[in-house]
Amino acid sequence: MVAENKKASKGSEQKAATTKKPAKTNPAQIAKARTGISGLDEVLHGGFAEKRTTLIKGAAGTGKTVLGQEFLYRSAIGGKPVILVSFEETAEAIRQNALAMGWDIPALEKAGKFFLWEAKIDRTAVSSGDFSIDSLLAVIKGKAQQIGAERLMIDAIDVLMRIFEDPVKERNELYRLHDWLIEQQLTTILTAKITTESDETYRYEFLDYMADCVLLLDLRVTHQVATRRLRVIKYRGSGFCSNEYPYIITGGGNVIMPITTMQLMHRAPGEKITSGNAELDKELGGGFHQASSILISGPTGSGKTTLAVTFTEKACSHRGKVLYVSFEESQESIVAAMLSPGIDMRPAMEQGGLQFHTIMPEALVPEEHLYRILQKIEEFRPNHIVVDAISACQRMGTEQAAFDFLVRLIDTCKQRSITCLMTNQLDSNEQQLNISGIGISSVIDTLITLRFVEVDGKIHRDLVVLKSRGTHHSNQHHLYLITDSGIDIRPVETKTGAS
Amino acid sequence: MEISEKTGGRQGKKRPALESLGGDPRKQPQYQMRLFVAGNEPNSAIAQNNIEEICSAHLKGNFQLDVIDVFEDFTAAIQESILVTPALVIDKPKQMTIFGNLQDKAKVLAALELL
Repeated sequence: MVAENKKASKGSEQKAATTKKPAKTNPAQIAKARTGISGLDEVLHGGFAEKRTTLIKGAAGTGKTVLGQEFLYRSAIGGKPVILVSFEETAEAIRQNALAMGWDIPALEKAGKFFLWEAKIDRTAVSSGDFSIDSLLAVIKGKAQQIGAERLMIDAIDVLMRIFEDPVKERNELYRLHDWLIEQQLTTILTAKITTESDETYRYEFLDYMADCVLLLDLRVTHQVATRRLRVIKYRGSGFCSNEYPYIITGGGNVIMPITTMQLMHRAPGEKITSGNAELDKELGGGFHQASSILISGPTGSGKTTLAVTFTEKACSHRGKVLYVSFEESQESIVAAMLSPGIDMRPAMEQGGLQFHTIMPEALVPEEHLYRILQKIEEFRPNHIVVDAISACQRMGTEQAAFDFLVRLIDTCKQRSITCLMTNQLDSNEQQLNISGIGISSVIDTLITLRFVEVDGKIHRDLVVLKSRGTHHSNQHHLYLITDSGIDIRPVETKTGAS
Repeated sequence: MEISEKTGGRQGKKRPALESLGGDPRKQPQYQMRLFVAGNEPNSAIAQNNIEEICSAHLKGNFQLDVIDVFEDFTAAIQESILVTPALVIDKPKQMTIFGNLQDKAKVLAALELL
């Protein structure tokens, strides 16, 4: 009786589903297939179009196959069987490349979750009269039914289409394929190689038109630095992030790095935290805000690192966790150097509150740098991050690359409510009041500048809080002393008596 | 020799097959071919008609032609990497694949080394 009821209700559900209008008439409710690829679901506002076709296009070597493969792999691992039809790469090469990412395709094949078909096109074959891709469709349908697959990737559709030798026939077959895929309710990824041959553009125009979602991959080399970029060209019935996003292929798959809707998503400033110095806290109206971004600029030797380390040490003594990213000095040399002004970071390190991440900026491309720092954040879950110094980021490649890296890092910190304190080395004393900091001033909440001034024939350090969002500050000049027992900050007596 | 339907073990709808013209059953036929078709779709029917005409006109009963419907037996299509139909796979006398409805009979005859 119960079973009968259940069956009846299932039947009516199915009926309701078939009579329901297609999802694309209601953009808010288009079904999404989560890709599971780091950052991509964010860019695609949830994932690929479910039961629809997504086209990934790009020149040779841009990573189309790997991106599609990761979607299949993550689906299969998550219990959704998949089919991969490859017209270009051999099954062996696909399995090998996947294994390099740690994806064990043979295991999934054995478990009946992955069907990999190396659909070799016989180059020696001749044609005599009309033919169609019925056989391909029969195989996909047969296998989909056999293993229960709802997700499919056709890798290098352009290679298949070349056998038609006729643009009109090719287009007709693509059109049929498209309709058939929708009829079969398969969530499909097509990949296509972009060539510069103008006689091939018709193919891509049509593919673009027929796919519901189109991604463009690009691999660019500027100033000897190769950068992968991903852009969503269109997404029928869905919103998407339309910028170009850098991405990298790591040992564990693709990582796309979107800058999320920056101004909108960021939370209000968090609670006050100490800067590590009572006088500076007073100047800042109680201290920094948790999750804010702070930039300390100044020329060499002006005490930027000392100020950053003072903050670090105090934060750790308040049970905060700090990740100290150093692009200039090793962990040992920072720790040793800071003993002279009486700041001992060793207890914080021993208690696990402080971790260093030291690396040469030139060692990696900016995306790789960012990825490693994000991984470190993921593992260590710090409350605060110190980046010493962002001026070194320019050595990662171009100024633009450094800018992208910093904006993404700051964005990530804001989202995770992590305080981000950065130092920036200025070339000369003159730049003092120039608050550019590789152009990131707009995302900086608090800006402190240090400089050398001559008073009564002696060189002194001078500190000014130039900007501090959400706190009162006076722009008052301060005398900044580095003593044997830490830093000492005091207002400069002025004749106008600002304080 | 005979024209048979391969249906992957399943009982498919038999097509009208050309009568074989006798010969020694222990001897391997000189011509061995497999025609992959997609159900009753027109080009598949035309291809079957064309190859049967060639068989009866040129091969003098010394052949074997298997007709495989990919809708009935998709595993054979997987093994042979058959992506399009109709497709004639010639195993003997020389390995060769011809796509299409075989309307250009000269190409088929050339592949069978009869030109």
